[in-house]
Amino acid sequence: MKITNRPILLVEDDQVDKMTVVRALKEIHVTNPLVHRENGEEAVHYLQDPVSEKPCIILLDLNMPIMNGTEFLKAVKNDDKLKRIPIVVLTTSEEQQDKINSFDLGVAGYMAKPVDYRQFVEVMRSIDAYWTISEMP
Amino acid sequence: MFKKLTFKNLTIKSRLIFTLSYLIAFLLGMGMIGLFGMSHAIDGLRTVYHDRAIPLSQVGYIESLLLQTRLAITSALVMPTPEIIRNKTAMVEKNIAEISRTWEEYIVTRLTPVEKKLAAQFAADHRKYVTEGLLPATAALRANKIGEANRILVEKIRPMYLPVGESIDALVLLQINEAKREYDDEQNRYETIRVILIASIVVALVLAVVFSLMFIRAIFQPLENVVRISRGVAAGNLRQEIEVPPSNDEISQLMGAVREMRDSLVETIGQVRASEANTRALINNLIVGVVSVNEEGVIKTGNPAMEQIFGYSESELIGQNIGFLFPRPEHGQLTDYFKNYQENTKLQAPGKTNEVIGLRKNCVTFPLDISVTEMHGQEHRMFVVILRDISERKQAEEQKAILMADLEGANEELKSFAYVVSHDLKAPLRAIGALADWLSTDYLDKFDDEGREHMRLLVSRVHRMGNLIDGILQYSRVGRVREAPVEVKVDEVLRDVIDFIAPSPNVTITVENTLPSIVIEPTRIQQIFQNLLSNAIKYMDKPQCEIRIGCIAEGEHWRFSVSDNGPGIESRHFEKIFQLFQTLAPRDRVESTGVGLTLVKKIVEMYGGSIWLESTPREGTTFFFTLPKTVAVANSTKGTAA
Repeated sequence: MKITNRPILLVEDDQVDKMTVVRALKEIHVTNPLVHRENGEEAVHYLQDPVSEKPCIILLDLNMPIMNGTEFLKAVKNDDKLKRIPIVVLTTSEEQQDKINSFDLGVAGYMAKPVDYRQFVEVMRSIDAYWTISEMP
Repeated sequence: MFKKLTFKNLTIKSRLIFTLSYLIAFLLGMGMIGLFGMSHAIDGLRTVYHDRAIPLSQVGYIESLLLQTRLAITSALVMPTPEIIRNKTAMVEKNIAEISRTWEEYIVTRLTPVEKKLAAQFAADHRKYVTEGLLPATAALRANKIGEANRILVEKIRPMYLPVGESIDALVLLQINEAKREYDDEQNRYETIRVILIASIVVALVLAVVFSLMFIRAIFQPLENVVRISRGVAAGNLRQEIEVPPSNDEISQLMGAVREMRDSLVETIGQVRASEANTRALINNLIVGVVSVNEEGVIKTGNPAMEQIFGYSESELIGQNIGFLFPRPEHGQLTDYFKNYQENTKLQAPGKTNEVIGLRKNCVTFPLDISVTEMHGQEHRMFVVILRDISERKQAEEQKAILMADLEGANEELKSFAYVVSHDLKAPLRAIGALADWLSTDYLDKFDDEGREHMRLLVSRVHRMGNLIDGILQYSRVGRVREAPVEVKVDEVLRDVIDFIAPSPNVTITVENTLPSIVIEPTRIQQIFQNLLSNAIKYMDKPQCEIRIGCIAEGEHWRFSVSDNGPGIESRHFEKIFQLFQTLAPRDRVESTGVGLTLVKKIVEMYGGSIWLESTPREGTTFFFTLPKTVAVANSTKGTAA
């Protein structure tokens, strides 16, 4: 990541998936702190909490209990203070409609989670590489 | 073939012309005879006058002159004064000259032989009488020799006068007789002519009567016969015998024509009756009810099916208003229906059926299809009403609708089930995969060879299951998720697919002809070629892999073919290979989900095409599939993501 001191917000209900992200980030030597929230609602609370540090990027799952990824996107993109934070969707769904909805709501990327862990590491490596090069507001 | 030319064989026209000509010739002949006779009679009369009246007067004149002369001589002798003598002798000479002149005129007229003889006698006697009697007497008188004259009178004139007077009398008599005879001749000729004329008139009348009778026989009797037969035919007596006379005239032609007309009528009526019987049989055996009604809706005829449908016999139906076959609300509608049929037909096509509720005799209502058609060619407006009991169909339809709803529900459920299940299966599978990876990475030194092999197998099975789930997802997506069909160039699609597959150098892919452009969802056509091509490559058992792709137009469809020189497929597997998850090679040898061909079949069939294959084991396989040239995209399923 270009900015190394700001946290990465992971919104993910599956524990192994969270472990996978943590392990992959560690494996590719990303040092940013990881903030994990289990669903959209908790993540919105975190983001709207003035005390919490704003993340440099949000990694978002779509299928979650209580508030799913799409609803979370709507909430964040309607918030002027939050809408510029890049959000990358990390999901199992390869549905066209999910992709369309996500991009309509202004996501910065859409990654399908591969079954193979090695491939997942490569996905994470690409995200890191991209956001290391890309400028951020 | 020539008919014997007799009078009977002639046409009536020829007969008429013949008869009339004959009559005219006959009348002309009669007229000629009459005219000739008349002119002859006139000539005869003229002859009577010329030949008899004139000579008679001449002879009479001569006789009177003779008498006068003799009297003159006698009177001169009675009183022989010189004056009288002079007068009388002059008179005698004048008379002699007069007689000679008149005689000369007379003898040039037409004289009969008897007359000529008499005339010669008279001429001789008279000459002697003049020369020996009169002339000497006059000479003596002039010489005043009275005695001499007297002696001549007594001796010569008196005796000589006798034969002269006799011959002239005889001549007069002869003339009178002759005139009478000739007159009688003429009278007789007139009589004859009159008789001939009267006879010819009678003959003409008789001929006229005979011809009239002949014509009556030849024309009017057969004509009356024709009239009688025609009336009989008109009255419906079609079986009567029509005799055609053997002759060739107009009447026999007419009779022939009448018979032909009758025969044709009999044939037509036979056809009509047969057709009617046929129609009747058809209507009687119809399973739909057929009634005819008039403008007021009154039933005129019905068929047996009506009894089966409504329970009323035909006799119960006829005369009733058709409205009684329907419960009250329908009643009013139908009564107006026929009156407003013209207006109604403007709104609906003729023969269109409507669904209504009918009322059976046992007061049970039931659904009914009704269609009304106006019968044309009738004096009064009539309508054919066709009624079909559709309760069974209705029941079946309802059941079908329920089943369809169930089925659609089940199908919908199945679709989302496949999606949800595969989606939800993927997350734990991914976790298993990740954990197995970490175990074999983190605890590498703790595992022995067998443990490591097991971990490898575990990860590979996770991959396989991931592929299977992806296959199910792909399969369930076809038809559930729709892209907008666009016109794609199959050539370009194929190039993209080949690029994506990136075949190794030993694979040759040949496109045999230019592939068409079709309107289709781009992803689906890609999937078709991708699966067929990757199958051909994946199962290849020969060092050189040759794949040929072709396309030909076949009616409304394009027929594509993909051939390979691979191991081929036994025909007993032709059906199995299109079933989901069915593979012919063990998955450990050829990694395959068994979804590809099922997916291709689903896509092709979704577009109304079909897929099949021909194969020779060990030599190769050709897959054929068709796609319509113009795509009517059946949008039966909703294109929303679950």
